Amino acid sequence: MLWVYAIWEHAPEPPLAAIATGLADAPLDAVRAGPLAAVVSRHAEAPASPTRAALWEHERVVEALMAERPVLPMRFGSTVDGEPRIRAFLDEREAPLAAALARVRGHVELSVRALAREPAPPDLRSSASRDGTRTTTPPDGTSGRDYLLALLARERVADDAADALHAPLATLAADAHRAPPRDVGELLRGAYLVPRAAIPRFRRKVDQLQARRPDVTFLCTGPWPPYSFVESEDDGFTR
Amino acid sequence: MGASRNQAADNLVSRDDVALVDLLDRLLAGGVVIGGDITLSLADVDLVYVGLRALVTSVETAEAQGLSLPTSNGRRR
Repeated sequence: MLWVYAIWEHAPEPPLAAIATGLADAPLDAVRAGPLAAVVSRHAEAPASPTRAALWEHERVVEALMAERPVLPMRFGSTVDGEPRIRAFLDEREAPLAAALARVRGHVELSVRALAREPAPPDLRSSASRDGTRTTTPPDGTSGRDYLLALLARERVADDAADALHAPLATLAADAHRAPPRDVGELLRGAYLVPRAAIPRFRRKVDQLQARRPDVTFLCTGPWPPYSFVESEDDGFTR
Repeated sequence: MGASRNQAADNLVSRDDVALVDLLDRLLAGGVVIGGDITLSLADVDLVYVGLRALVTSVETAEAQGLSLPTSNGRRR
């Protein structure tokens, strides 16, 4: 079985052994097809389950590769039964993969999440009015329609808030994605494809936003390999 | 998963916990997919998410509320 770490343009140097060692101390190898190559390690059985340690281990390998030249990272757990399967994939996808590599060249991915310091109320039943008294909505008589309208209004407010946080960051990025928030109180979950040289500028912008919004906690991590930018809608990738 | 929980308990709060959420987002939901050859089923991925996130979410909630939590070696962030 082959565990696949990343796809990049084929180049014989430097040797993979000089860059990193794979999962379970297995040596890295390249499976080449045309101008592209997949970086793999060989195993009798799956070398990793998704534990915290294994996820970081996989990430360590991809980051070491990324330090050499542009990579398209694989999703964790990508395995194939043999080289022909990888070659067929690289052949079939050569154009979109090459286009994606060209897009990410010289760029890294930065992650920004913004969390409200005050957790959002769990539901609409209790809300504070302007004068500080608490009112209860919807009261028993309130229609389902009013309730839904209130829900929609709240969603729109959250959406606008996310836009206000996302837009100034996206202008510093070659590409940017907003993922739907996963948690209550999460205002923004963004991924930004940023030129390496612009990382300090991007971080300063996050600091500026943070200074302006004491009601929000910004969590910025990276640089990551471009996991969120391996495909474009134009490429015809399917997941 | 059991091993990761133990490790998490040993190292209760660290920068890694914040980054772990972003790592999960990327390694388990991003990246190139070779159709049909992922060792993890979608259900497995959800389980991983739930398992690894339980700790992280509590850390973040504390952080978002402005609490400073002691790290395992006694330092505060």
